[in-house]
Parts: sequence; structure tokens; C-alpha cells
Amino acid sequence: MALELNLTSLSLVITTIIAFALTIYGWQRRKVGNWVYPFVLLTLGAAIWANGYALEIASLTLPTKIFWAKVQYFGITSVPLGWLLFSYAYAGRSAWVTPKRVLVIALLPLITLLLVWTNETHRLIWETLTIAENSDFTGLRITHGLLFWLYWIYAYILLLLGTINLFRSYRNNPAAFRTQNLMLILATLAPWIGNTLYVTRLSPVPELDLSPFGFAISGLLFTLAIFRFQLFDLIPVARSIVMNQMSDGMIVLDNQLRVVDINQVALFLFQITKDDLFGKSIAEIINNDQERMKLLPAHAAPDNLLSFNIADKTHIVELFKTNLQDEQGQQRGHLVMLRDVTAYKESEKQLLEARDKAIEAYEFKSQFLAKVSHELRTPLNIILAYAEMVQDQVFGTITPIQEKPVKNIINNAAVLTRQVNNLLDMAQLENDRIALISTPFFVPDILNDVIQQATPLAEDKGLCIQLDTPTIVANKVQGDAEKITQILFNLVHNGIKFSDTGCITIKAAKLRDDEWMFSVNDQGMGISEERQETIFDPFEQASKSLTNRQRGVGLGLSIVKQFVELMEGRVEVNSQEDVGSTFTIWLPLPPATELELI
Amino acid sequence: MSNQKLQALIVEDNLSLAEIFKEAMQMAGFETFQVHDGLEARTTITELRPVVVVLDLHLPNLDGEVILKEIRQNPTLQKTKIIVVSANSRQASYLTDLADFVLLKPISFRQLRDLATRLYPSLSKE
Repeated sequence: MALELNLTSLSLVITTIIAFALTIYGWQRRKVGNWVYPFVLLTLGAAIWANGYALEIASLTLPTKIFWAKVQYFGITSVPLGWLLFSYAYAGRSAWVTPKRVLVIALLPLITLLLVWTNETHRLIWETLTIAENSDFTGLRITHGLLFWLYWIYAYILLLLGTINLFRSYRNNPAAFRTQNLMLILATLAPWIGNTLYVTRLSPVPELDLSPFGFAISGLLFTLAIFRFQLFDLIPVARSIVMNQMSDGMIVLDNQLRVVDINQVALFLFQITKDDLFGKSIAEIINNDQERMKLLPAHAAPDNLLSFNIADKTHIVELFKTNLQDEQGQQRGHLVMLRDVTAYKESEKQLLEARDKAIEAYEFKSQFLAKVSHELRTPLNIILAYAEMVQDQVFGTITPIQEKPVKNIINNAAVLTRQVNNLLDMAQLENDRIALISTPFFVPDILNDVIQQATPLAEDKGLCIQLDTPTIVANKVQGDAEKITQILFNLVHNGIKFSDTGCITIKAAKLRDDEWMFSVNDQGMGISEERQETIFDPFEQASKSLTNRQRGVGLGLSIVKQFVELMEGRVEVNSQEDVGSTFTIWLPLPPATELELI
Repeated sequence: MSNQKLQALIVEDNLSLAEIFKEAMQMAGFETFQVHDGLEARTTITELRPVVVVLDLHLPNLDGEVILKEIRQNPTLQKTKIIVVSANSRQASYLTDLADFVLLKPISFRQLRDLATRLYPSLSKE
């Protein structure tokens, strides 16, 4: 293939190199956004077009010139398409670009390309092709066919649509992007101006297609847009999406506190339009309003909260201010973010109110429990005492038939009294109103008390209670005998409730001079590992599937734990489902120091 | 020989409970008297000088705690034993030094009877 280098083709080669370099640059950054692919198509098309033209001019024979003219059409058909798609993506309207639409738009360019390569058979693109000698170069003199003009009009429509998109985006973009936007519009217009001059034969050199030269200008402008105006770094598409769809208001100020950028939310808050604002100082928004002074970057508001009244509704906005610096660390401006925290503040207020109500209800509950149990205790005390007196024949002898009912009255009144006591204890524990009554006592005495109290309950269920402990040889210890009895009784009672067979075994041992260990074991249903963590919580029970008989108020174990902790002891549970449970408590019980009173 | 019996005073505003305490103390061998009011209790104690006072803390007109302190400060009542009965464990807890015994309500009839019996074992045998 004979070639002839000349100035025209050399300048076209340079254009090709620039366009191709942009293609590679774009391809390497294709992850930046959707718009990079049409950008690559556009620049690659330009490279092919310019390169094809360079080789067409440089070729010496007509067939080679025609070959390269055909090659150019790969570029000629892809440039308008790439441009249009790029403009949609750049303007943030990618949603419009569906594969189906792309296919429809690409149809005519593809047909045109096909017709170019088969032109000899139909001459619909080029009617005649001859060599035109010029002083500097040898071009082709072409008479264009019908389909060329059809494609030409089509390509110009695509160009026009793309340019409209860019103008639109120019209008909507903030100042920072406008120069970049303008660069892109100019970059596109250049080759088309050249092309129009060539096709309409208004070109100073009639056979010279000026459009590829336009690409040289385009390439320069694109390069400028990329490197000087950060086409690949500041992507207006992302910017418009992020800024205008974000729920926070955003204001960007330059160093002179002029508004450089503002988003929709911020405009709504200030009830102003964008046009009112650009280039104006933030002072004009503030308008000496003390509250809005908080917007100033230097203003250190204690709470960073700002309120806006919009349509009779108060919006509370939280301010976040950031200094914007460039890569060299130079202060370039300020960013003010406005987050509408109205709903949050309202729910916070409601939460506080709810909390106050909950505290009030909690206190009321404790007082109510104390009051009710107090009111219940006196009559219960009287019932129990009178039943005991009847049983003890204070009022005369009772018959053997009367013995059982009296015993039942006593047992049940005792159970009820303990339940009420538990409620009162709980209420007092919650109010921190319970105190220890330390007296000297014998440990075996309280063990016997517990067994005595619990035996009727165990017998009712056919269970036995046993004391598995060697004879305790010990002097009196100092402690709250009443509460230790209650603790052990609660544990034994618990064991009775959750057992159907076997024995409840009570153990007691002196570990050290001032520490005792007590344990209560049962062969009942046991407690799952998961439930073991909560059984000491008030109103919790070991199993949710309890019969009414087993179901108590659920305070027993909670009181045990709180009493034990009040005495600075500890409690542990060891349990296996369907095998049984062992509750162990350790209590500090020093030897009694006081002299016995009786 | 009823005139030889030791005297116990029951200070309790609930009449039924007072009755129960009376029965328990009588079974332990005491001669019993009842008052249901704080002021009345104060005068009766100084006039009667009982050996045992069963003292409720929650009383109308004068608090049982005040009476307890007055008894302890009165040299003529040094030998008087005081059994405090109370539903309030916190109050009861800091009175253990002043009282001889503190019983927390609900108080079983047997509990009081057995305690009183242990105080003067000879009485119940009569």
C-alpha cells in the first residue's frame, strides 16, 4: 500500500494519537461511571475517523483511498451515537438509555456502515468517487448519494439532542461544573462545524474534510476537561444524584463565604430558589438573624441546632460544618450540612415523656404492692392466728373431724401469707426499703423451722423433705434469721412446686469461721440452660408451660437472690432438665457476739 | 392465784390482733391488759409498770418508737421487757438495740406464745 506523508495527514495522525490516548485513558477508568463507555466509543470513533482520513489522504491510488474512506465510517457512525449516549449519562439521565433504545438508535448507523462497504453495488452512499489533486494533499472528490444525506441528517439530530442534554446539564449544574460542561459542548461542536463546512463545500479547501481536524480541537478540550476540570474526578452525574437525593441539606461556601453550591433540601429549608443565591454571600441568607448566625463557619453554636418555620411547622436542623481543603492543604471553602432532626427530636421528647411515665408507673406499682400486701397481711395474720388458736384448743376442744379442716386453713393461710410477704418484700426491695435484722441464732433452728413450714406442702404432693447434713456442732451465729429462713423456705417451696416424685434435700455446712453454705436439691423437672439466666428475675419462672398448680407469682427466686445479695452472699443454680436442680447459697454468718438475752 | 401473775401490756391498735396477742400472753401465764392508742399506752405503762410490753410501732396519736425510747430512758422501767411487733422491717431493724425482741408481722399466735413462755418458763406451769 503506497503512502505519501504530508502536513495534512501528519496533523491527522496527531489527532488520532490524542483521540486514542483519550480512549485508553477512559477505558482504564471505566469503573468511574456508566458514562465512560459512551466516552470510549466517542473517542475511539474519533480516532478511527481521523486515522482513516489520514491514511486516505496519504494513499496514492483510488482503491486504497476508497478503502480508507470506508474504514473512516466505523468512526463516522459511532461518534454521534457515542456522543448522544455520553450526553445522557453526563446529564444524569442514564435511565433513559435502555438497551432497546440504544439498538433502535444504532440501527441507521449500522445500516449506513453496511451500505458503505457495499457501495459499489448500489452507490447509495457515494455516487461518484474521483481523485482530487490539491497543492498539499490528494483527496477524494465525492458526489454523495441519497443515503449519505439521510445519515447525515440523522447524525446531526443525534448531535443536536446530545448538545441539548449538555446545555440542560449546564443550566442545572453548579458553578464548579459549568466550565467543564462548556468544554464538552465546545469539544463536540468543533468537528461538526468542520464537517458542515466540508459537506456543504463551504470549506476553503473544497476536498478537505475538516471534521477530523475538529477532533484535534475536541481532543484538546476533552484533555483540558479531564485534567484541568477533573472530568473523571468530579462527576456531575454522581453529584446531582447524591446532592439532590440526599436527605440532608448541603451548602458549599467559598473562602469569601459566597454560596458555591446548594442542594434541594437546603433550598427548601431556606425557602429560596437556586437562582437567588449563587455567588451571593451567606450573609444575605442570614440577614442578621441571630439564630441563623449559627450557619457561619466561625460561629461555635453550643448545640448546633437551628430551627426553621416552614408552613406553620417547625423544622429542627442539626448543623455539621467542615472546612474544605484541596490536596495541598489550602483552605478552599466550607461545607455546611443540615440534617433535619425534627422527627428525632420529637421522638426523643416522646421517649423522655414515656420514660417519666414508666418511672411514675413503676413507683406507683411499688407503692401499690406495698399498700395492698400490707392491707392483706393484717387480716391474713388474724385468720392464721385464730386457726392456730382453734387448733391449739384455746377456745375449747375440737373434734377429730374438725382437725383436718383447721389444718387446711392453717396451711393455706400460711402459703397465702408467704405469697403476700413475697410481694411486700419485692416492693420494699425495689424501693430499697428493706433492711437486715441481725440477731444471734442457731443454724439448726432455722433448718427445723423451714422443714416444719414446708412439710405440709410436701406431704400434699407425696414428696419428702430430708436434711442431709451431719450434726451441726456450732455456736450461735449472727445474721438475719428471718430472711435466711425465708430464703431456704422459698428454695424448698420451689423444689416442691417443680417436683412430682422424690425428696427435697436440704444441706448446711460451715465452710469457715464466718461463712456458711446451704443447698436445696430436688429431683424435679429441672431448668433449661437458657432459662437459668433469667429465673432470678422478678415474675420469671423456670418453664413457661407450667400447670396452674406450679404457677406462683414468680417472685420466690428473685427474692432469694436479692436477700442473698443484701447479706453479701451469693447464689448459684445447677440444673439439668428432667433430672433436678440444686440451688446453693453462700452466706457470711459470723459467730454471735452479743450475749444471749434469754 | 391470779393476783400473783405477772402483768403484760398489749399495745396494738388492731383489735383482733390485740385479742390474739392477749390470748398468746395469757397462755404463757401472764395477766394481760390492752390499750389501742399511743397516748393511752404511755400513761398505762408508767402507772401499771408491766414486766412485758407487746408494742406495735404503728399507733394512733403517738408512735410506738417514741414510747419505746421513753421506756428505755425511764429508770423505773429498767426491768421491763419489750417485744416490738412491726410490719416495717427497716424500722424494726434499727430498734433491735432498744427492744428485747423484734417480731415481724405477720406474727403467728404460737410464735408469740412460745416466746413469752421462754421469757418466764415458770408462769405457764401454774
